[in-house]
Amino acid sequence: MRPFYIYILGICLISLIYNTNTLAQDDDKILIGMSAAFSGPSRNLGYELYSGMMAYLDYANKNGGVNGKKIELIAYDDGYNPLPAINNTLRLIDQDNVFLLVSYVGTPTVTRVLPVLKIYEDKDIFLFFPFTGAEPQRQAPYKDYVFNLRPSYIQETAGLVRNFVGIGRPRIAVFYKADAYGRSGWDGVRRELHKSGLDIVAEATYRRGAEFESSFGEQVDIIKSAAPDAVISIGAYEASAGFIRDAREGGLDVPIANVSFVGSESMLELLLQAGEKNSKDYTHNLINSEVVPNYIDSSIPAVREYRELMSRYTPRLPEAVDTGNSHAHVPENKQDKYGFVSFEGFLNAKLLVEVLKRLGDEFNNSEIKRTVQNISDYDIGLGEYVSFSAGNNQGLSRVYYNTAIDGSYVPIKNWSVFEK
Amino acid sequence: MIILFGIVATATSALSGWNIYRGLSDEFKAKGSFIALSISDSSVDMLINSEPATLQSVIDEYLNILGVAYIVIVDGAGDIVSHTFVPGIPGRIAELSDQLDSKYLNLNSEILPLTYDNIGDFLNITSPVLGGVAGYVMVGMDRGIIRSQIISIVLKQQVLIFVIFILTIAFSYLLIGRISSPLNILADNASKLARSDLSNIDELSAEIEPIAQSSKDEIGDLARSFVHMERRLSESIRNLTETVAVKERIQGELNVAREIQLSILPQQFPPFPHVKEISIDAKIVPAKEVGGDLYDFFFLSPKVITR
Repeated sequence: MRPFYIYILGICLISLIYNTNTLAQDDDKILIGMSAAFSGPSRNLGYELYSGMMAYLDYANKNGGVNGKKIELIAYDDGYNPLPAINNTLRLIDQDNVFLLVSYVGTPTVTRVLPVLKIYEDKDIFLFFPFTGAEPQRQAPYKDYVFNLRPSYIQETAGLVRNFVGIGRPRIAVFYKADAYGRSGWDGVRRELHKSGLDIVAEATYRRGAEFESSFGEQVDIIKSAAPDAVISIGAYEASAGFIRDAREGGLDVPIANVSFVGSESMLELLLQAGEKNSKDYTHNLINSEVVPNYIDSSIPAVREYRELMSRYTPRLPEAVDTGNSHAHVPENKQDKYGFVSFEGFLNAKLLVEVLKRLGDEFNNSEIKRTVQNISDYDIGLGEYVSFSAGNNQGLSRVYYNTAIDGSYVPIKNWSVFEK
Repeated sequence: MIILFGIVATATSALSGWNIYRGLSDEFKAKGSFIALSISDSSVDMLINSEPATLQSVIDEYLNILGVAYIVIVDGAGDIVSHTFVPGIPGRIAELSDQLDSKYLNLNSEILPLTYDNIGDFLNITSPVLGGVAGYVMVGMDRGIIRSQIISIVLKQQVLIFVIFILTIAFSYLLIGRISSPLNILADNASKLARSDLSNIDELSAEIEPIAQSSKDEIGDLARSFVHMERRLSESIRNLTETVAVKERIQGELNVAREIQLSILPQQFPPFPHVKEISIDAKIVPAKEVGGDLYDFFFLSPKVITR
């Protein structure tokens, strides 16, 4: 009898080992991991991105999930800091055994997490659709471990520069955050200007963590003294709003443009509040580039779907963030349920579910790369198709431009309104 | 004592200050050079492939090191492609980066004291990347930190010395007080004695009695001598007073005796004014107050007088 028992024990052990090696966790759940800013000056970004994702994931799970398996999103707070981001990633991979990573926020954080992905390349852990347009995860050697959805900062800033130059505003100044993200945007502006033999006429930086209440007078002075035609701002919403306020107060009235990462609605809200307090309009001559269409345009199918699902969504914080962090909270003053960042989260989730579905029966990490690279002309509902390939790890490339009118963003139909 | 304190404080502070300055300066130079070299070694690829964002991540990390004030990376074309300045690149730095050229082909770091824009005083360390062809790294170490460390330590030292000084004074004061206070009392007592009419010696003596009782040292001896002297004085005066009183009493009695004696003697001279044949006068001069021999005159018979 003895050998028989040992045989049974052996089989149990083997299946145990086999299970933990192949996939994430239980057979009825797919675990995906996220590390983002849920606290600090960029907390709105993590929260909105998460909300957009959960709005879609709730819907997908209610409708059978992926081949019967529910998708569970585990999200941790990194406060927009690289070290916590690294720790969270290790925890997600080693302890939580996630299938893949998704929707990380920020250039400094993502840039530092990339080497971790390389270390775990045997496990085929990929980072999907990080919320950053920086170059490191679009270039060798790390492009092999990341799939981007959004266009890059280089594309956004190039678009802004081309438009400004096109309407007779070639003297461009840059206001940017003193970190890798700011530097990315600065680099994008510079490269595009160099193509036409031009250069940045003035630059000013601000220290990360600067709040709306701080004074940006020094930066305004530096930029103003170069008499620019336009300013491109690469910052977070608090600092960008503060700079715009101080610029307008300081007599700098040229168009100021921001990129998608700024957190457009949050910035607009701060400007409107300040405008009310000081009886001024800080929102004129404001341009924002975005990587998704404006969510007021209901002619776009994805927008309709997004608005529908967001209206059904119950705002909440990720469980791990809620219990563990006294600094994180559901941001107050949300005028509107809708926003560019949550729209992007929604699109991220929608495409991710599509990828998971396409994995089919061979639900295995090693199949991910091939599956994604095979996506060609997938209609996500934007009018623009999503495509990946062996050489291209970025799904979309169109940049949209909005301006603020009467307290909300509308698409810019014609740039000539900003002509000199 | 204050002057002594002043000398001690200044000398020790100056010495400490100098040592700290030397030590920290050397450390900063070494640190800065190491950082500059380290960054220039690791940024070759990033510079050649033009990745300012990645370069930025690298230099942002180094900014956390104590003493590092700024880092600038210049590319092969002489343009600043990465820096840590807020709110803007100081003019002096922009100038410096323009001047970078074949000076640095020898791969040595150059160190240059640099003050600008009222912002501070820095040690600027330059390190070439790939001989300068790929670019340069400039690291600025903040000399203000050295200064503030020196000031802090010197201040602490001064405060310490000052406190010790105060304590010493207080202690000395107490100690001397213990000696001088009884001396003062004794001196005071002596002068009171000198000025007094010697009638209240016992009172004065009582004033210094406690010192005489309690002090076991020389002061106590002095006090006891005082007390003894005052007692003796007091005694003498008492004796004298008594003696005088007795003498006066005796004198008084003698006076009475003399009066009586004199009153017994004939007062009227001449005693027999109606006898014209003779006139008698007499005088008595006692050796002291009263005499042993007296006189008187009577008529034995109407014709004979005897005395």
